[in-house]
Amino acid sequence: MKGAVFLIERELSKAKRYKFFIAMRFTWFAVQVAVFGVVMSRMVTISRFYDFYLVGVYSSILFTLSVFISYEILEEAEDGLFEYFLSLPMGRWEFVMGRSVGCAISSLTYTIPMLLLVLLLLGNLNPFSVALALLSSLLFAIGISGIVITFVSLVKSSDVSDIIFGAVDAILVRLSTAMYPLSAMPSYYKLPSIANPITHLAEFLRYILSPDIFSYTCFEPPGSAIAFLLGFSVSAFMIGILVFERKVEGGGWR
Amino acid sequence: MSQILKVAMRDLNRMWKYRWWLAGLVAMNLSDLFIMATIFNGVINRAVIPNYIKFVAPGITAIAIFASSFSIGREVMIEIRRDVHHYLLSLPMRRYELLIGRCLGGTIRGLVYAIPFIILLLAIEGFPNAEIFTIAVISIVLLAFSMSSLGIALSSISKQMDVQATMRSLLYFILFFFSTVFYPSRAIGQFTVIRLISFYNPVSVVADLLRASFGEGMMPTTDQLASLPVFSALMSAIGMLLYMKAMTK
Repeated sequence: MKGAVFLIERELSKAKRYKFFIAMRFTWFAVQVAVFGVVMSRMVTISRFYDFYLVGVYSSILFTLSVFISYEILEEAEDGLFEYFLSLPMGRWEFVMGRSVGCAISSLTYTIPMLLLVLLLLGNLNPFSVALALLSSLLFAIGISGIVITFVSLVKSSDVSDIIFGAVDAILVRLSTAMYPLSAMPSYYKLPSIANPITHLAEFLRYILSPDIFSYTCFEPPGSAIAFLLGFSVSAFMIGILVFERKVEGGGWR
Repeated sequence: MSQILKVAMRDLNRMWKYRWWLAGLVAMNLSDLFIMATIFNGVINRAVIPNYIKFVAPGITAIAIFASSFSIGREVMIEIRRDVHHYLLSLPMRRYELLIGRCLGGTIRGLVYAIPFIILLLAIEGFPNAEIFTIAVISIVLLAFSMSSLGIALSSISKQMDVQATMRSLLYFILFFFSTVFYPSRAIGQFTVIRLISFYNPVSVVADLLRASFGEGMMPTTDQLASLPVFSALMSAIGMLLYMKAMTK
């Protein structure tokens, strides 16, 4: 467990390195909230679209940041740092846990100002909502980090990973209820959207932060969203350990 | 002239080196059209936009041209960091040939990338008005040239990757959201800053021209049309000056 804690601390100490990236993401978020969201809310027939969109855009930013930060494992591998990690006195599961949780906490920490802005704009700043929002976001980010680590262990190529993550980021965000409710989607987009973790985070956040918006998203009961996030997070972590151990042992990274 | 073409063709060939990045860009552009626009089409107020897919398709084509032409900047940045420009300066050609060749290379990249999107646009929208479409094609070339020059200019300002990435992203946000790609100009009439930037935004001008060629929306004003070559000339001059300064430092 000490190894996992070490990796979490190391991950958190890297905040400085991401300052420009975080500033860019925050600007992206601010422009989406202040320009795109405002203008689109005047053009769509969905009532309270702006509030709906606020929660969705936060979920998509958290997703993008979690992928970006977890993805650094690949750069470390290419720089030869990975062999150093493997030589440390810690179990493989500790490595996966340390990286998943560390990356998730980092991503969550960087998005806290955005979450607070969303809460402020929704007029819901009570401690219970904030705690639940943070918990569900952390579960989501752990799951995403686990998936990224699993994928990177399987592919071991920055070229292939670049395209896959670029495409997945673009498609998953658009194929979720981040920007529009499930009821607005054509039937062929509904199924992939329901299986999309971004949808579950966005829906659960809507339920705890602004239940009036949640009610017309056809996503009930809300417990299913948090159950999905919990299952997603635990299974991504378990798959991460299994794949990582299998792919790394006996041949190192390459 | 042949030297300019050689430099431009070198850049075009190197475009495929970034095929992964290009594939990501294609995925983003297509998902904007086939997922986002399709879903918004069901919830958009018909009085504002009768068909959102048809409205957004020209905007996405304009964005695609901007992003692919702009990508030359990434390459110039890497070359400057790795001192490859010493090699480029030692080549038997005049400086202006190298400079124009780079800007032209970026432009051709943008146009090559845009061709499938223009075909897709024709499939979605039908046959355009030949006269307006010709103006639109000229404006596409100008947009590609100005964005290629702008990409080179930004890459020549600083060697720090973080600073460059930040500037690039800021520009991307402005050209993307402060434009008429996703919403018509009448929907942003109340927001003075957005309206003003969007009015002279070259991406907006190209998107509106393409729309007008398919009989949708209003034809851009003379002011807007005139701003495009002016912007293009200005950007290419700034881009070439800054690039030369960075190479000879």
